[in-house]
Amino acid sequence: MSTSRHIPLKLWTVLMLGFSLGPLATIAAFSFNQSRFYAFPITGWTFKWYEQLFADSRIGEALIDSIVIALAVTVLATALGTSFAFIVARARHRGHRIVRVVGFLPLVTPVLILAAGLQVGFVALDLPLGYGTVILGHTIYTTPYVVLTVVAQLYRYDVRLDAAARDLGANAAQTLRYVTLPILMPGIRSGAILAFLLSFNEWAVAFFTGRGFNTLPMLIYSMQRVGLPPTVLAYSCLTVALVLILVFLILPFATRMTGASRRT
Amino acid sequence: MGLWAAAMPWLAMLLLFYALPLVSLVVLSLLESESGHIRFSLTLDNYSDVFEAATGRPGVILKTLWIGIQVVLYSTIIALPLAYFIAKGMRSVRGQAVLLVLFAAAFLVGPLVRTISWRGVLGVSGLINTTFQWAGLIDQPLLSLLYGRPAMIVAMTYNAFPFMLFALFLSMLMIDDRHIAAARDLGASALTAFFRVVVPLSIPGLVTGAILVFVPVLSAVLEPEILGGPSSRLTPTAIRSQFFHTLNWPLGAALTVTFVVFAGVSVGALAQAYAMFARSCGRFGLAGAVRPR
Repeated sequence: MSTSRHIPLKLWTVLMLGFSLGPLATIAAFSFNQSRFYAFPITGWTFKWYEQLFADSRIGEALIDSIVIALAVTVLATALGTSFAFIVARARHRGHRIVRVVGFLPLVTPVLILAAGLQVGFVALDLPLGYGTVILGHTIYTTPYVVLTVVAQLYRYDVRLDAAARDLGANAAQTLRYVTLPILMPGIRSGAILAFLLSFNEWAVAFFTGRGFNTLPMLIYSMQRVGLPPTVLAYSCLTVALVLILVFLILPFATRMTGASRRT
Repeated sequence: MGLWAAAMPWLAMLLLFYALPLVSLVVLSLLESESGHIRFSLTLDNYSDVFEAATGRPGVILKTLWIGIQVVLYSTIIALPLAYFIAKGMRSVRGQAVLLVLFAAAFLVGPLVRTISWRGVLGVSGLINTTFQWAGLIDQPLLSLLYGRPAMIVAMTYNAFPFMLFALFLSMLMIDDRHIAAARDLGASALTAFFRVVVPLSIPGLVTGAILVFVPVLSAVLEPEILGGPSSRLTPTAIRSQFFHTLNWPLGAALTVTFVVFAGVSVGALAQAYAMFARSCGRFGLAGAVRPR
């Protein structure tokens, strides 16, 4: 494809990048606005909404709950997703296609329906709604994303490396520990970051299956119902910053995967 | 078998906390309920209740699905050129990855923040009204931007189009550049080559993307509440209120099951239509006849 006639395409890309990041930039800018409304004019710059946000004890509690849940989900989803990825990338037995599709089902399930189903399912299983149920729900929601990133890495994995390790006397566990997993680490790490962010910012499953505490999105949801206080804007700006920082940790992995699957 | 042993934990999780919840939802939808209490006898009453036209529920289901189809169409329009440029127009792999990661950021920020953020863009003194007034394009702020169906559709498209972008990008990455070069050598304009070669070869991405974009629309509770205004509640909101306010779980379950079945049929039909459209692009050349250079 020649590069001379890209101008409309480039324009469109810039425009859509604006569409994609514009609202987030807007909310970030307004979190520093003197005026307490999420609207123009900007009357001056201030950090007072951030001070208010951190002075709010509910925020601190919700932050701890959110982090505990997101970390537990990250550990579970990364372990489950990584081990499941092998069957997706390598199995050629009868039925492996069905298993592959089943493994990705939560990806095409609307979160609200998953959340409603989980609430009913937990009651049917006699599990009391609380931390544990939110962690389980988020694990179901996030694990397929870990599978995707690990599978992407596995497709590029040269299986002869395993054979070489075995030839040199490593047993199956040692091969996994010292050869396979270290090579897969960029994919695993990227999956873990995705799982953390998705759980940390998820609202519907937490709202349906969490009782007796608030995750940050649950708290912010109830705060924005009463007139959108500016502390919500400060929270939003911090979330955007967290996402941008963590997402750029995925960049080297994304670059390698894009480069590897490109046909020119 | 090692592979199966490794796959078991996730499959067991899915059985317990995915299959079982959804099955209990279906079972629950078939149980009788009396003023909030569930009785263990089978009935189809909940379903006839769902289809009771007087409640307005069937109409709202259709409205929700129609909005979903619109969101898929808009996402396709946004993502087709974008995916083509990122997959085939950029030389730098790093540049490709940076763009993809930036487009993923809005999705990872989570449903709450990205929905709230639109209030400052569409509001009466929001970004768009203020910019237009400053530029002298309008005298009075456009009141209709917020609190209505357009605001909801914009926000839903915003939430969902990255899925279409990624699906199309991956499938366009697989297209051999020489196919495009051959079409150009034979005299096709850039546009003709795009519609007659690239689009038909992107069918897998189009179909996957359509499904992935349609799915989040089915959980749209926040968009109607934060941006749509009271009159634009959709079926997801109705489902939530059955579980949280009215506390008629069997009716909520029946509504969910009905909604999912109709959504499945719509998205299946939509995916078929997409594949047919893309194939006919290749056959008839929607961008006009091939003309020699």
